Amino acid sequence: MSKIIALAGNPNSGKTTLFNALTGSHRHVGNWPGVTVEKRSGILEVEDQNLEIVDLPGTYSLSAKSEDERIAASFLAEAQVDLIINVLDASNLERNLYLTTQLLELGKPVVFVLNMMDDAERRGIQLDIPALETLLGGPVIPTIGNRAEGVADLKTELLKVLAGTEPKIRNFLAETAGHGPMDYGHDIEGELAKLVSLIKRDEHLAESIKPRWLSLQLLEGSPEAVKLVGESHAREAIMAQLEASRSFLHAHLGEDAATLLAEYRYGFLHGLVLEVAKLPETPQVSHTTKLDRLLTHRYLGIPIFLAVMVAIYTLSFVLGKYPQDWIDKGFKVLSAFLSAKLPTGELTSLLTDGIIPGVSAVIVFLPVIMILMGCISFLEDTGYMARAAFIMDRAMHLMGLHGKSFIPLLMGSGCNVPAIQAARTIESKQDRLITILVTPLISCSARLQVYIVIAGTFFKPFGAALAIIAMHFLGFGLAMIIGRILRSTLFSGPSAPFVMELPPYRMPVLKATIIHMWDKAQVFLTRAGTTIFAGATLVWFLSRYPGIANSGWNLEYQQQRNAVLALQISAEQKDDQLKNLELAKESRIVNHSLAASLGKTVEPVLRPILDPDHKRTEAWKDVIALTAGFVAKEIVVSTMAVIHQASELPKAGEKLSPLQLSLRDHTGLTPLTALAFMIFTLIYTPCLGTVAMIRREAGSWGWAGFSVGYGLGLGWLLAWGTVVIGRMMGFV
Amino acid sequence: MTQNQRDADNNPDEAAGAQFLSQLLPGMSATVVQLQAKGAIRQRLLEMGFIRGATLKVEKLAPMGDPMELVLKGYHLSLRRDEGACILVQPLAQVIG
Repeated sequence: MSKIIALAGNPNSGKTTLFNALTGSHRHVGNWPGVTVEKRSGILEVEDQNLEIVDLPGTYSLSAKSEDERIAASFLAEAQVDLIINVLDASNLERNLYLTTQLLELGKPVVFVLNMMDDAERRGIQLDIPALETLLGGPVIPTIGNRAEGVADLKTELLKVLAGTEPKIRNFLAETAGHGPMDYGHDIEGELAKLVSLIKRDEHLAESIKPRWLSLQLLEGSPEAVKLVGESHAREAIMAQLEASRSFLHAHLGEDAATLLAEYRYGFLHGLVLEVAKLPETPQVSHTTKLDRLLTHRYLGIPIFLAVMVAIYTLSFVLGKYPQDWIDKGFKVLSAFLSAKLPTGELTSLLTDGIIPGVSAVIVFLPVIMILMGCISFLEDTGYMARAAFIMDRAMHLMGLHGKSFIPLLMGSGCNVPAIQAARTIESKQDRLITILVTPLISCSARLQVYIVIAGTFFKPFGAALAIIAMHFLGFGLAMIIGRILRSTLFSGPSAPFVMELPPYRMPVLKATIIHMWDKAQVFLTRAGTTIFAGATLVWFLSRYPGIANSGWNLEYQQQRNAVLALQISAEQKDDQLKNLELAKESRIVNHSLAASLGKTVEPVLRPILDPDHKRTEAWKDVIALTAGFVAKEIVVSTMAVIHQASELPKAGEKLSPLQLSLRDHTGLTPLTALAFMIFTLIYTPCLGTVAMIRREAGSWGWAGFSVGYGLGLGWLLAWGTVVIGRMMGFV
Repeated sequence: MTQNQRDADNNPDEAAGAQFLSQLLPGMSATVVQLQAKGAIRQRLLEMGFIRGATLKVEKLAPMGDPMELVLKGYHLSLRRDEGACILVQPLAQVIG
């Protein structure tokens, strides 16, 4: 079995860059069991040994208060971890070492990586590495993360430590007869000893976790530690002692145990840093401070931020549109080619109308996902992301959201799918979930295509533009309101602290950005792709069966076709007639499909919105279009074209397309019900891609179902409200 | 009763010039006196270095006035003002210029 090495460190310490440098291409991205926190692991091949490297979430401590900390703490305590690499930011040593004081309690060999040595040197910080090695009890390897300097030394060191031939490794627990690497003072050590002796009564418990570490966690109030003790037969004695220790410490030292422990740790670290680091006498103004004078400037900060957002938006959704169109076109050509070559029938239709569009519906997201994720990863690595959150937090907090929620919401107006993936950057689970759940309300470019057709049909040009803009404002407004409502109902617990580090600006490593883009694409294909594909195929089935299998209809179509082919008319006319025939056939299949039956069943529910006077005979057809639109909202339009047997492309010299004319003259929709239809399209459900992404990012089908459910409910209510109020005001 | 009076009643250190971190202006330095936050926020603040006696400086406020940027133990971090309102600090004599 290969040895397991865990990579631990603070956020922004350069951990992931080091992970990339160590593992090369042998890497795997997945999720930690049961949660939506990314787990990166990879194989380091060195001197014909295979070492497994696991990158832990970046944390400031192991207090197990947040999801990330819980994951890191429980993985590190596992017996299978043979060695810990602790990545430290050399330019910010004191706070980085806080985590170290906890890692050392785990009783495992730790190798320290002193990263960002160049930053420290630039700031005039001199470090005494041998002294640091003695104090920390492990080898210290200086590195410069973005130049992979020092990585070779680290590899050699890892082998030495694993082989047990590294004299620098100190076993504090053995040396100090039970004390850890640091002494918490007479009173706390006394209480720790009492807890340890009680824990040792349960051999099984003492085997599974270092008793001293467990005692420290208990004193700090870790719920995980309490849970662990809860399974022990000695739980009553331990918990009673814990209560006694806590009140003793509070009475004697005037603060609760968690505060005291933190104070001792920082006290110890302050002394340690004084001993090993020489700071410049007059601290220089760093380039970060200089940059921040501009980037978080009182007046310029917001305009600069908006300019950055415009740049990212343009890159992702304007530039990204080109490859998207190529992919779309490529699949359409393939599908047309196959349907011309293969005999007409169910299997061909499954392939050309079901599978190929299904695959296309997945692949088409890739360019924009990769570009947007690349930009976001770049912003994160430079350190600007934290500033973006800093600048926008006030406005976002009013909506019940976090400063980092702004980017997903804004990008949602391009496409909700990558926007939800972008919510990953929000650390707190609550804030992330609220952001994920309100993002689908932001009107995306696919929905815009629906508005353009509908508004263009029923309103004068100015009114149509106004209606389309109103849809976008409605989306943002609803996101705000729903955000607030979710915050005060489902997520009413204490909101996560906004104590956020503003890391120094750094030049990102291009390779890291590319790896990140690739990881995101891979995760999307494997985790969300299957759902989208399955959904698209299901909708194909619903809208084609049973008509497609009707041999009588197929025969009729063939006869009509042959009749047209036999006519003595120009090739152009013939082509036109053949197209009409095909559309008529498609229309017949769809209008007698399972989706049509569904439409007829569901229509009464939507009647108050789409058919308030109950005069329309074909309101059920709207339901077919909306059902098909679940795959991707722009499909609403192309489905309507099929249902109403009218092309979406306007004839030469005409402003409205046959579809629009048909919608206006034959369907019985009025400007008011058309507006209600637009509102319903905005909200009724996130599209399939978005649902798949919500399920992946929120971690459960429950939240995905919730977003569909509340979308349907809210969409219905608002569309209905529009109709009712509109009619009261005299509109029809 | 004004907000300030109420704060003074709740906290005897007010007489000695202690203030809440949220009341400091950009450019001011202070030492931490006491954390009044509870739960996860308290734990996070402790880990980030908000312990008794630690020196911090208010670097600036965000363009919309909240959150605030602080320098603590040589690194920069941001904090919402309502979180700053849970941290009692003793302002240091202001360096002129």
